Amino acid sequence: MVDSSGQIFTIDALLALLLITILIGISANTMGIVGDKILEYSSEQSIQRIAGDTADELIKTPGMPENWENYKYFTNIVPGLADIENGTNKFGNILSMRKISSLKKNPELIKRLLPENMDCNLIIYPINTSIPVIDVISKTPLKGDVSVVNRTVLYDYKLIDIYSNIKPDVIHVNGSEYICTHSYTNPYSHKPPDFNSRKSGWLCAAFNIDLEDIKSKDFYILTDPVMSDNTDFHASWILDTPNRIINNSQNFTSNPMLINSIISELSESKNREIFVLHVFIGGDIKHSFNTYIVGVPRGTSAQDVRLDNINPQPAFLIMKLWIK
Amino acid sequence: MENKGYILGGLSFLLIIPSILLLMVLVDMVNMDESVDTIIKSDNSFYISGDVERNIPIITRQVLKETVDNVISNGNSIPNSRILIKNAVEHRMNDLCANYQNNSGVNIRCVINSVDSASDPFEVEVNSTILVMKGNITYNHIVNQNISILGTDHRNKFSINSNDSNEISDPLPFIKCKKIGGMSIKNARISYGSSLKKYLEGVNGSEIYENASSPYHIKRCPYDPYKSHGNSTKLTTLKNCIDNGYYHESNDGACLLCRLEGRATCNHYGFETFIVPSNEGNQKFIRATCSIDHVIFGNKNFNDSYPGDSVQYYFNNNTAYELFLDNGHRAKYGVPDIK
Repeated sequence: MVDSSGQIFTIDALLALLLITILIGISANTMGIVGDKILEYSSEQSIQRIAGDTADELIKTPGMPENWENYKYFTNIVPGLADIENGTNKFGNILSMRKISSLKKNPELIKRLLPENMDCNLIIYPINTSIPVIDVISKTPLKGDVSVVNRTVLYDYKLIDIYSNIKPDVIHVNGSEYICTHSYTNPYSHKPPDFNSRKSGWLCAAFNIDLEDIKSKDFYILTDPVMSDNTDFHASWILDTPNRIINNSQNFTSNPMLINSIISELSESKNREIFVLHVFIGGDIKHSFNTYIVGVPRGTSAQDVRLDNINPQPAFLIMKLWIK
Repeated sequence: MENKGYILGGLSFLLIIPSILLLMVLVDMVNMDESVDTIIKSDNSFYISGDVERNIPIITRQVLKETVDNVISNGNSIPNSRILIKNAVEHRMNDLCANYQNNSGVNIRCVINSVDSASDPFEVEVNSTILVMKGNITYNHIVNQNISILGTDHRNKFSINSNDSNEISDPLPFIKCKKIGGMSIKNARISYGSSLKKYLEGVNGSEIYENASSPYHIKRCPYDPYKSHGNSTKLTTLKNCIDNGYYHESNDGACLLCRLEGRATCNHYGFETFIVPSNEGNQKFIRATCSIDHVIFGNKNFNDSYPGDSVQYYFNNNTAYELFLDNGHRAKYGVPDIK
């Protein structure tokens, strides 16, 4: 008689069971490790992605509505820092200083861009180290995973408004230049300079300032490059109106000059005042310069009125994101 | 039947299952690269669409300038300026998009929906749709842009480099008077010769417009509010405005696109300028056709051409410079009733 019972408990069957158990254990463990790795990777990617997307949205969009920084109440506003070029619908890669200041005063607005469980801080480091660091949202990150986004941006210190900007150029086309208001009443009319024959002359331009701005801003005249006091040729300037012609000019100085007194003296208290700036420059194009009339909010310190702040400045925008 | 092989066979089969699972995990991990690829493609499309969007104002301005220059050189009006300019811009944008396609494989199309006058008469509004397709990523959005028709550096910035090639000229005087003959351009001003007098033939006082002149380039007047033109004691602001050849916003004057069609007035918010009589003649008129371009070129039947009273705005060496303004324009420019 053949006895077939007892097969199950042989040693090789037990060995096989052992092997199977070990293999299943290892593969389950590996799957667990891989699963954890995937989860960690995707959650890290998702925080990184959220950080990248939030920074992109801040930098590349002007916010909703586009001029949200002018509003008093921020109930339905989505912040954005991109600057809208004057009078157009275009927004480029330049950040607006006004929007940055508004966000700094109301840091809770950033929550509109972030998921509920995340928090962030935002600092702007200008590449020119003489300009102070702008701490837009200052919070300390918690211990744990912090995702950092570093973007290079340009920001425009738009707290300075340029009202007039005279830039000399070599090309001088007959008949297209501005005919100055001094041409009529003055025997010494303002003729433009001729850089080709090195003749000095006047460059003149008319511009407007609203009465509101005259009352709320300080106005300065400054040059680019800064005037040095040791030149042989003394460039000078006149600020007047079409109705009140002034013949006496003033010399430029190396620092921006406050011209509030001249403006209020010339002002006729109309809603919008017209001024004419006349600049006397030499015939040497190498020593020529740009002249600006700028307005800054009243009370701004004179040190903040600098050429750096007129043109867009490059900076690093660093945003750190973490889970609360 | 032999039952001996079942248990060991079954147990070895069980060994295969974890290896299959391990294989599946491996294959999955390898496939994760696709999502990164998608992000790169999507960014590329976005940047290209931004590029195309930034080219629209540049190309539109070129087309506008060329269209105006064509009209000026042949004196013919265009039947439908908006459609013509829209088609021309779209044609050039297609060339640009074909370049992108050849270089980067991104399938991009720009459809110009409309070209029309903007709320600012010195601007033209362009509405377009940009469609981008790369692989299975598509991206499209509608863009509305306002393009200035003034020369560069026209606002708060002033540059002595007002290069002729930057500024757009006024086509209307050429459409009306070029075929009559005698027009010329001197010192950035249009000199009509006898053409304007012949154009106004039959109207009382048309002789005063012999050798009249008006601005050639379109420039916005900085003396805003306009009442300040008359506010100076001897109307020097008005004289300065005329000498510089500035244009003023006007409800009656035609916008640039309607001027290309030969219309002096239109329903859109447009602009106007002064056409000043020459002061060399000896004729003295107390009333003549109002010296504003949309009045003079208004209507061949001269129903729109109303007379104005003489305003002497400047004296020099016994020459009186005068022009004619009706009451409405006197009030607009703040010119008092002086003769």
